[in-house]
Amino acid sequence: MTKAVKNRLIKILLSLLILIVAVLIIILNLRDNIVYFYTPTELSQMEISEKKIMRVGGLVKKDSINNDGSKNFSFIITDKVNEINVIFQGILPNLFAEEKGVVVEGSYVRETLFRADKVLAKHDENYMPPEVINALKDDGKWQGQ
Amino acid sequence: MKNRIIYFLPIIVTVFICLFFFFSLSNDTSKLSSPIIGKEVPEFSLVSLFGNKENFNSSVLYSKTPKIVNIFASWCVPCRAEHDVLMLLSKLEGVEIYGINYKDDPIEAKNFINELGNPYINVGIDEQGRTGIDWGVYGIPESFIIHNGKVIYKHIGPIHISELDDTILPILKDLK
Amino acid sequence: MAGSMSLTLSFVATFSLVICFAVSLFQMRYFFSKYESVIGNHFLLSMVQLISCLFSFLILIYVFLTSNFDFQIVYSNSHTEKPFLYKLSGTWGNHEGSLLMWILILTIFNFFYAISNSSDIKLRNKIIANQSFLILGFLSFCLLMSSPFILLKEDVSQGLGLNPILQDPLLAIHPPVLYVGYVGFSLVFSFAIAGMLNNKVDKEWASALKPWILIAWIFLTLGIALGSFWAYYELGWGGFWFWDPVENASLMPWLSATALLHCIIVLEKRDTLQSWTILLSILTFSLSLIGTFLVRSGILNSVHTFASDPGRGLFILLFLAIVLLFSFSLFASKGGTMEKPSSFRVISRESGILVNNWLLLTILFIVFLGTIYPLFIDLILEKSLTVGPQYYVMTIAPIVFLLLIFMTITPLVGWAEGSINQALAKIKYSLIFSLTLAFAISLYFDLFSITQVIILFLSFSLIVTTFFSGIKFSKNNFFIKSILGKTLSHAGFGLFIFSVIANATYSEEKIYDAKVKDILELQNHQFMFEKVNQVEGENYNSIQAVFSLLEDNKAVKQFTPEIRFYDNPPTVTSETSIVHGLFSDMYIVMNVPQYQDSISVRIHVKPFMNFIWLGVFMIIVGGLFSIIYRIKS
Repeated sequence: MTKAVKNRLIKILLSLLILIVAVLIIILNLRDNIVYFYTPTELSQMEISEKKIMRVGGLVKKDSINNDGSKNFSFIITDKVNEINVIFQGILPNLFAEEKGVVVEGSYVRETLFRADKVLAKHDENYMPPEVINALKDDGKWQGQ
Repeated sequence: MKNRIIYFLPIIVTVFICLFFFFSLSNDTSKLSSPIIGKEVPEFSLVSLFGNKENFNSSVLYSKTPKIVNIFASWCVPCRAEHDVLMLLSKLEGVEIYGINYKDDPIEAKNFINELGNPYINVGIDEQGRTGIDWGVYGIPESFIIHNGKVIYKHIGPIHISELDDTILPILKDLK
Repeated sequence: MAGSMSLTLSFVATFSLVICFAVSLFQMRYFFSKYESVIGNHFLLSMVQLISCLFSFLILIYVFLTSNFDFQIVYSNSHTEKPFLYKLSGTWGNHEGSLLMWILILTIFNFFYAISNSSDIKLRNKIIANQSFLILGFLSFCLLMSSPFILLKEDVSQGLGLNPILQDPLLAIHPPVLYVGYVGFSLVFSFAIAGMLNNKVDKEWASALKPWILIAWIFLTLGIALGSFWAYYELGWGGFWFWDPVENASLMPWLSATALLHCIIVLEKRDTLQSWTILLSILTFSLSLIGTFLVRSGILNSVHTFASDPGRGLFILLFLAIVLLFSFSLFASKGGTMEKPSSFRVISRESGILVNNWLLLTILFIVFLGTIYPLFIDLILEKSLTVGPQYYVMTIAPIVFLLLIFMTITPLVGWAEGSINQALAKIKYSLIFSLTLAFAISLYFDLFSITQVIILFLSFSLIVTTFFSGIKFSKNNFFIKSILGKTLSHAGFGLFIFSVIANATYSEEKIYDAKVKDILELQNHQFMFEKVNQVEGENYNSIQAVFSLLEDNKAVKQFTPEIRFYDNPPTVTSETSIVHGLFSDMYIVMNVPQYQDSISVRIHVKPFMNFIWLGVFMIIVGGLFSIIYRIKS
């Protein structure tokens, strides 16, 4: 092997190594940071594991919003077939209202109670026509966060 | 030139990405073909939402004038978005809209109509969703154009104002 | 039925666009070799293209301002009770209008290019032809599939579009600025195509192209910054960047444009990296296209939405595919022959810039993957998911780390052949100074982790070294030195990174239940809840809480967070109240009051926000200086 060829080989191997490491880092991080989205019906059909961060979307059930007079809220998210109880502590966003679409992010505290860390009163994309979403999103880059 | 091949790489990547976007676009539920089109409407008889009206029967749909059947519910958010368009449509001459209130609480459905206006000639209550299943409902709102008891057209999702002029009205015009 | 006035307006506006279409078709003759050396009347024809589009856009503005609901687009997007500014911005706040605006900006760029100085007739002709091709493509899309001038068949007396959340001055100006950026890269793309067709991609070509890249890049940067500023003060969630797909879509062309901006320098100075420059030009433009249109077609939102018109998305996709396949085929056939043998060593400024290019593109890849992955999974497995912001932070941080190192050293290494030792010798003292500063700060505050200290040190050394070397070189005539632009932008980037880290570390928020006359404390600040007011606005009523910031028991600043109740449509919005301090922003958001004696509020303390904006501002001003320098010399 001449020196030039050897140099070239080293270069190629080195760049390949860097590439593989970079891609691995990216993929592993991606895997760790995925938050799945479920509807109450999907949740009723699966094993509930506590601590797993997930998003749940549906409508806020009518007359289900309770407030203890301060920052603690509880409400029910329903898809008209199944429902889940949610508790939340904090300031609710603008678009949060009864009978309106809502997405919450959080985890189960026990099998029947979901604690929301974030309430994204992003209109539930599965139920909203894009015109309405786009109206919000287009130039506004609407997001609930 | 062994490096040549590298210059073709962008083309390959582009093709993949375009294909991906293409499938994402066509993965659209409103494109689903419906087995019901061209067939006769399923038989049903539903109690009317309006106390003073007769049952909403499938026999009403066997008529020379085309009818629109709209499946909706008060809990469905896009139905609200669609309602303005339905109101607009109902004011046009010779357009008859019937509603099927799907898996809903009749009281809430009444509130919904009182609040947003009534575009319907009659609304049948389908609390259990059985009739909806017969109609092959995939996701509401869905709208059907019926002529002589046959399903001519099915629209999944809320009717957008532009679709009124582009699709719905021309079909109605043809049928007349 | 629409009145005769509306019919005329609609017809005239459409006809005007058809004129532009015809002229663009005519201009495309320069693609053929028969015409390529003909000195055409570019001034006149590009003026016709511009004026015809402008005219029809003005008509659109007119029908919006007069709330002419005969027009479908006005009916869907406007309302008589909308304030003037938002009637105006409603013109481009929707798919059809924004497309027309996009075309208008395209003709504006085309016009300015046509009247700019250029000695290379063949290059100019090809560029005009390609620009006209793009105008043609978008015009057909506009005329065939999304004409803004379609009339409504029904009579309506009121429009549908009155969403108070969208009524914000920044939202009104942010899209046009972003568009100028996006569209600017169409010219860059045309340069690339023309260069390949003429087999002439050299120093001269690069010099002609560079100012256009700068202009587009400045607008794109500004547009992204405005959007992010809007998110910061309007959404009231304390952040300014959320890694939302729509935001990502604007970041991707920026990353590739920034890479392009640097590699064009190499091409201009050293006459190498031809194919790489061409590739980046095409990439930047296609990402701009994706940024505007695929976002609007609804693909990026969610594939499960009831897309109103997948046909639109398909058309744009088809156009994108044609443009890309055509340009990449050209690239495949010409790419190899254009490349001039490079004669730079491993340690040289060229390599440094190339490495930075690769780093930027890696970030681009990360962002792309994070944006596209949920769509991919949705398509294959039909599951919806989101990618958390932590993914971006964790993967991009190490790259920023490398980026800072290379940004510090590269400008000090000579072209073609340099030495790292010499470069390090030049900045020895700056490095020691930055290291001391970084340690001092982190010891003093006792909060930074090791990674943060390192990034802190790196961003300091970037700022310090760029400033020292920048000022040293430009001692004589300070303002026209080309290096000033670079100095400002690079130091601005350093400042930006530093502030982002510091902000992330020291931001704090807390939720309180507050009664009137309560004093709330957060990070040594005291906030006094003074009273609750009722306020009547133009088209809303609101409940306003008044807080004051106490210093030595005296009120120095006032906060007035509000909950607004709009009647039409019935909407409740909450307005954040921000007080900007030199070193830290503070703000208060309130909850809808219940029937209790207390309300819940959230107080944020966000340090270094001003420095984040200052950093971005410096990056933009740096770009402006480079442009001014270009024009002067």
